[in-house]
Amino acid sequence: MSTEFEQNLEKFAEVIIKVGLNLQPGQRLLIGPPIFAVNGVSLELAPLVRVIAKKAYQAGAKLVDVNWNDDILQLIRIQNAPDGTFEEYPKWKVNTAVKFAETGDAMLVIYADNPNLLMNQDPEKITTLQQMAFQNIEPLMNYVVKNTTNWTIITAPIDGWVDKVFPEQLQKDRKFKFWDTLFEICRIKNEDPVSAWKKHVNQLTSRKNYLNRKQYNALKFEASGTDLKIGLPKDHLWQAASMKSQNGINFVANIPTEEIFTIPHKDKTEGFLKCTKPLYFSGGLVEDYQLKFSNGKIIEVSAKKGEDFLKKLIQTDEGASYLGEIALVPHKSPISQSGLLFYNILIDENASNHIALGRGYKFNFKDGETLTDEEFTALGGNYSLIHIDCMFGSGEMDVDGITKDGEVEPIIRDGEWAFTV
Amino acid sequence: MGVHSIILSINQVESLMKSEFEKNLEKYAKLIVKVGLNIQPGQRLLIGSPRRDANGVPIELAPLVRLITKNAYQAGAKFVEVLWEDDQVRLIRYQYAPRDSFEEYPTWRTDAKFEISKNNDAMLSVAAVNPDLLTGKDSDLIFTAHKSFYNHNKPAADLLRRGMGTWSIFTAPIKAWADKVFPDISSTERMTKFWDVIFDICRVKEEDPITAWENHINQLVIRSDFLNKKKYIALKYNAPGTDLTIGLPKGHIWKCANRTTKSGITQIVNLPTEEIYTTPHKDKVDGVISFTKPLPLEVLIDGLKLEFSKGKVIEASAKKGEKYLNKLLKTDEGASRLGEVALVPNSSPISQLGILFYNGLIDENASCHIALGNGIKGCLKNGLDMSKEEFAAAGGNQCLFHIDFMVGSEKMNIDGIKQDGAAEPIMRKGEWAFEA
Repeated sequence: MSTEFEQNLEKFAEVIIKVGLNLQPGQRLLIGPPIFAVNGVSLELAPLVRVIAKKAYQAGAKLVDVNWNDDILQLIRIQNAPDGTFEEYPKWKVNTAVKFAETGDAMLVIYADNPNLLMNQDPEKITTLQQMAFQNIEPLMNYVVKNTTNWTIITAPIDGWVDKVFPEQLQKDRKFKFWDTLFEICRIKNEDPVSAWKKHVNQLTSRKNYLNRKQYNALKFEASGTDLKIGLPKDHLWQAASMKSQNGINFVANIPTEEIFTIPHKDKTEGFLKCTKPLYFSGGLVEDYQLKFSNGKIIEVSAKKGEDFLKKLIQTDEGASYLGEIALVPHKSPISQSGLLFYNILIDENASNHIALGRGYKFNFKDGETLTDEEFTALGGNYSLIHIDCMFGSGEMDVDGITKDGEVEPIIRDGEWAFTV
Repeated sequence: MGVHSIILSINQVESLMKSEFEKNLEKYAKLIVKVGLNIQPGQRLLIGSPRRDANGVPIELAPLVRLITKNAYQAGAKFVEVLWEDDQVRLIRYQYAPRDSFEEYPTWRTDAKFEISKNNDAMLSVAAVNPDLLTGKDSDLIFTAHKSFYNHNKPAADLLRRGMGTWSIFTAPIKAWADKVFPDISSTERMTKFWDVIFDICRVKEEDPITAWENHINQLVIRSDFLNKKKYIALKYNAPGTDLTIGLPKGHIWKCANRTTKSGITQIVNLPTEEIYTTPHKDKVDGVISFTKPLPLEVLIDGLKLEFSKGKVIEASAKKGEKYLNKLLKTDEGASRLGEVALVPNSSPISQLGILFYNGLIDENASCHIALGNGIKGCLKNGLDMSKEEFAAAGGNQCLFHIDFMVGSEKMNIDGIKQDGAAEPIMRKGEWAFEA
């Protein structure tokens, strides 16, 4: 007899392998390639990793390997390593993932970090470590943005993080509560979660197809504190949930996912926005911030908390103050309805309409996988080392699409879809 | 006064209350970094360099790994990286993976090892394996996986043999292994007992373990110097079921775990260590030898008996693991010849515990042993600079692997044969027969 938790864990693993990765017989699977400042899979997630490994082999994987990470070692490094050594980075972790991409094997990212871990540590060292991570994962990102192979990002609760998300729960109940919420928002509690996911993916695909047929010239966002017009480039492609990798595998890159997203024209954003959720990014928290744009570039930043951190982020490079993504999420999505802030971009971005500062994805253009970097830029695609989501949607938000002829069509009203498919 | 002084005294109490175990664990971590690796400022350290039976450090050992990492940084290491493994994921592979997939190897792990040695950086291997993990699994699959590891590991292993990089192996208990070694102790006490034994045999409980290790290594150096002056041409082994002559090559050197790298760093390869060893002549082994302890290679080899002629195994039998053994001996030309001969007195502290650990690193330091497979270049005069051909011409064996087999017992006599054929006692009834 297995407990309900164990059954849900099995179902979660099943969704990851069958829906997320759609793992093919003969593929290898790397669990835990580095992403941003997260260097691998937390050791405490071994029970989940084991179930995933089992399902992967049962699906015919020829090798499953895990890139583990003990985040305490990061803390020990900051506290004990000699000055001048913080530019060292384990390049082999990135090279390993790059090889998987090159050989058409599969990758599963488990994006979980403890937002409190590096609190009160030397911010200069933390910044250096982040910069090193961004620079070094660059070769991997070059493959990911082209969907060279099937990849999926998931998350799972770990120590410290659960305290941050569920502070009002008893300490001993927090992790269980987190798992329970995660199973809920990932549709795992359905009797047949794989079918439930197929239905969900079909829904998102129909809406995505509608928007692709429209080929709007621009989008207009209005809510209290927000009046923003985002120009869309020619041949932009809306994506949602299911994508096809260059080696022909249909996969779902994010679990959970609620968004439909495309690429803005990097020079054509005008106006201002007010965030509706804090921005948390590897150790830094920004609250109550506002951004003002002109000709696509952020020209004004203010925040009640973390303003310096945000300013530093957008100074990472030239592209960091331009947009790379615009995503639509209905306000009644299960994550939004939970009312929780997860301090984790994978989950939080699926609670709200959002833009991303920084890098745009080639797969958001028609035939984008074959674009050279120069062609991508010429079409209006933005390039940066960073890609950071900023949530600004709410139940009061209206979104319009502006056609080539200047006609205005409703896309979202009061936070919900305003068109039927 | 007041609040602050109370807080201070609470801190002091906490430090006093740090358990004996925690203190020993910290001393052990320091010993590994200072004596095992002798970490130099500016070196990188890779913890968990892969072995035949483990792709990395067991995730269970995180508390010790954290202490080692801290000590390494404090000694000036510029970066510490860890290769972890969860042995349950290893087991799941044998349970569920397609049978034709076992040649697949995660090459980045041996690549990381290669990079470390190439740059004269440091690495640690951990010998901490549940000997029963793969019991009942197909030994052909296990052999296929092992051979694939040897092939991918070869470039890294070659660098080590040429004196590049620092490298040390240590051990630490994991739960499933403790259950195997201490079945008669209540299950809640087994880990405590196991740690206690490891602290003992690694001299961690000494007030100053680093000095204790210096003294210990000096003793071993004195014994090896004595044998080096003798320049024996062969060793003759006698014990029940054993009558074996092992020829030694010209210019052979007896050594202990004390290793000096090409870049001039002196470090200790094994914690614990009790052996002195050299490399035998690959074509000059004749007779029969019976093995005295089982050998866990993920497949258990037990009751092993080998017959040699002109250096080569001509007959092999084992009560357990024979199928694996027969494949192993056919791995390559050098697989059926010897690559090491090592002497350990039966009264060694590990041997006196009378415990079978099912662990190569510990058990080999409880018993005289010989190794099948690759010879040791550093045990021949000018060996580190020898080409493959020169090493072979000097009598050195070459093979993808190097596996120690335990042969010693309290009944074993070993003679050294001099140039003129005269025999001198080296060991009698398992103990040293000479004063050094």
